[in-house]
Amino acid sequence: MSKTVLITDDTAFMRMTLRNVIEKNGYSVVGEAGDGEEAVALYKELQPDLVTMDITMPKMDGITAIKEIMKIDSDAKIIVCSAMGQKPMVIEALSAGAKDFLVKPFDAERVVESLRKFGS
Amino acid sequence: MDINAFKEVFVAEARDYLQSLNEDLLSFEQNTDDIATVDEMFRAAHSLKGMAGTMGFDELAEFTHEMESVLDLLRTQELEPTPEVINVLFGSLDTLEVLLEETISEGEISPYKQQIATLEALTTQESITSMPFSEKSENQVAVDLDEFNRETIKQGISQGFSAYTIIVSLRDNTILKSVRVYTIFQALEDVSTIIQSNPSAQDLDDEKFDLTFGLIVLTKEKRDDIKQLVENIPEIANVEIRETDLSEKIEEEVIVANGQPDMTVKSKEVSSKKTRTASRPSRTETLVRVETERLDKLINLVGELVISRTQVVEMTIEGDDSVQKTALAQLDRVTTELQYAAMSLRMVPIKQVFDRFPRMVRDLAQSSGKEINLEVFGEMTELDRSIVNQIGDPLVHLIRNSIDHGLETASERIAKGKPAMGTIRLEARHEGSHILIEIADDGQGLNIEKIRQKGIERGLIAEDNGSLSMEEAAELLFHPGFSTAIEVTDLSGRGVGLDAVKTTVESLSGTIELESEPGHSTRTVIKLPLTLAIIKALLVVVDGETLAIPIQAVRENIQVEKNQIKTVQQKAVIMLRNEVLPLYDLAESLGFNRLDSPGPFPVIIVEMRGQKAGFIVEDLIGQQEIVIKSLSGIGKDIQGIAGATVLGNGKVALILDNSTLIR
Repeated sequence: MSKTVLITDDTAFMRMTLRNVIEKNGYSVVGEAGDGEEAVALYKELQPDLVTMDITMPKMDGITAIKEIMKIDSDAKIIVCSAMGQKPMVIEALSAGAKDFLVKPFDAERVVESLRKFGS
Repeated sequence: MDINAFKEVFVAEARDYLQSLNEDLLSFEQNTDDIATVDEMFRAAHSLKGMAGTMGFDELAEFTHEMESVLDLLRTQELEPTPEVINVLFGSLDTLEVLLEETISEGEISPYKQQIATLEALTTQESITSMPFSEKSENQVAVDLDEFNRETIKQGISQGFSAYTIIVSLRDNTILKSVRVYTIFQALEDVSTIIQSNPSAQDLDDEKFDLTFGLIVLTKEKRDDIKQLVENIPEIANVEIRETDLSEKIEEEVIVANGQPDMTVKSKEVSSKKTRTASRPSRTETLVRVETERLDKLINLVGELVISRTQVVEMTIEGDDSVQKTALAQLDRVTTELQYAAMSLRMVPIKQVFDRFPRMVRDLAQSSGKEINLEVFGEMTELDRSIVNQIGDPLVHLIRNSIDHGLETASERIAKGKPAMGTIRLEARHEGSHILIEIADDGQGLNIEKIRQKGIERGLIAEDNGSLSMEEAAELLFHPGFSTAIEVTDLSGRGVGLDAVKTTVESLSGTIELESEPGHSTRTVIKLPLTLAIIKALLVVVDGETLAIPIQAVRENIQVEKNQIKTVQQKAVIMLRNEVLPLYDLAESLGFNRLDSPGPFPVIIVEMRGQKAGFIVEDLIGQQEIVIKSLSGIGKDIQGIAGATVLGNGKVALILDNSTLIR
């Protein structure tokens, strides 16, 4: 059975791009969240193997969402997605429990590498 | 013609040239094909050199000359404009700016020789352009294990840990390198303790590295498991891991391949560290001037921190909680580093003063027609920056005195059976918590009779006083207004006599002593304190009080039975490996109550000025780092006491001035 992924990003465009890369590489995207709150709710419901997490989002930001998800499941595999120049926030996300980070614009191979290394 | 009248014009024009050099270099960096810009820069450097030479600003002239040489090679395309070369030029412009401003303000000239060496390295490279670009270059990543970390590792190994050196190379398309390093640290810290990294953690965080960095970790995991752990992190190109070599060499160098084609130029003259830093753009780095008062405050606070650390370590030494121990080891390491870093802010090698003497002596030798050989020792001896800044003039004066009054001409020397060439010896060294600067010459020594006559002439001594002792003669020399120079020469004797030297030295809480063997030599010793220094000391108990003995002077400690103490000429001595050493009761020497004990006595063997002596103490406590706090007021002049320190337990301990104890 292929690994399940939950995509979190506030723009539909980014979610679409990520879904495309992820599905092409044999993973199944089981849900898409548009903000942190939604991500936490969907995590509880779907129990995905992996989560991609944008940082800057409405309602609840990615870092708070990572902390919330880690409370629910300390083994959660979350990969934080950032833009260039968000170094302090990426560090914060990593210390909150994110397993790895991706920098936009995404490089398909990098995305797959992180999924492969942390999805196992 | 007074050249100083043109200084204003020089200043304005020199600053303009510097500005245009900076602008041109920036534009050249963008377009390295633009030889016209290099031509422009070459001309600017050349003009600056000429101007500086005319003004007699030798340092500036020397420096611009080296820059000009490099620019000339660039202009004729004999030197490839690699990023490294450009960075060296940027660094040189920074140095040039500092040099220029210091010259203008007639301030102390900062060291610039290093930068000259870097420039020279570029011009002396052989077949720079013939080196094939495709050749795989080497970049050095060295993990220099410092003494403290070596100890930590040794301790770790004895507790069943293994030490590994890990060299990690990131892929060249890694975007947030510092964050990637963070994830690597994070992963490793789960299973190991990171002892040291190169570059430092701060530099890694600031992305001051290419793609490769080194780590030393202590762990109980297997080597392959650690390797796999790191390899499992994304964006890693290569991981090398091996057991850390703890052999005696201080620097452990790991050479790793680094596929950066534009790093081909690597010169032996440039040390590996320099190569690394030079390869990073550093043009924003300039000197920061900080009031010494602020530095003092920082150093004082660090001193307090060192004491607090000692307190914490003392409190927790009992248990065997390994988590606590690791945390303490970390605290210990950081505090030690902080302490050295803080100290180093104020400490500078005396080299920067000594450096100007070879040139000065050569010039003076020429103008006085004497043959002089200057020997310099201990130029790397470090002392407080403020002392270094003020000791220059007194030293200049003393050296001039040696040349002018001490050394004879070659013919005079030959007539006396001395070698034609006179020698001036300049030496700096630490002695306990002091630094000694010695200026000695093998000239004619003091002419006591002449000094006496002069003293009578000046009304400084009575005519019927008989002959002078050497001490009295030396004392006279330091008297205000005394000068033995028959005619005032260009070299010395311009109204400022030795008394000015003495005043300066004393204002630095130092002392000056002059001794001479008439006809053969004169020796002047300046003794300066190392105020605020943190030193290692041996703590002993004397009459119930804790005393600190600076460790540099301590040779060993032994137990002495009462019957081993002999008496020679009514003085107590002991035999130590066929040497007869005077033995003192430290309590008695300091005016405390004598130790009343049947023995055996703990005895500390101390060595000062090549003289050894034993001191009986009540008890030994052990070694500790202490912060020297100078005593003020009535405590200042107590013989045998150099200062005081606050110990880990909050008590005050006096610091012994061992040099005054041995007489």
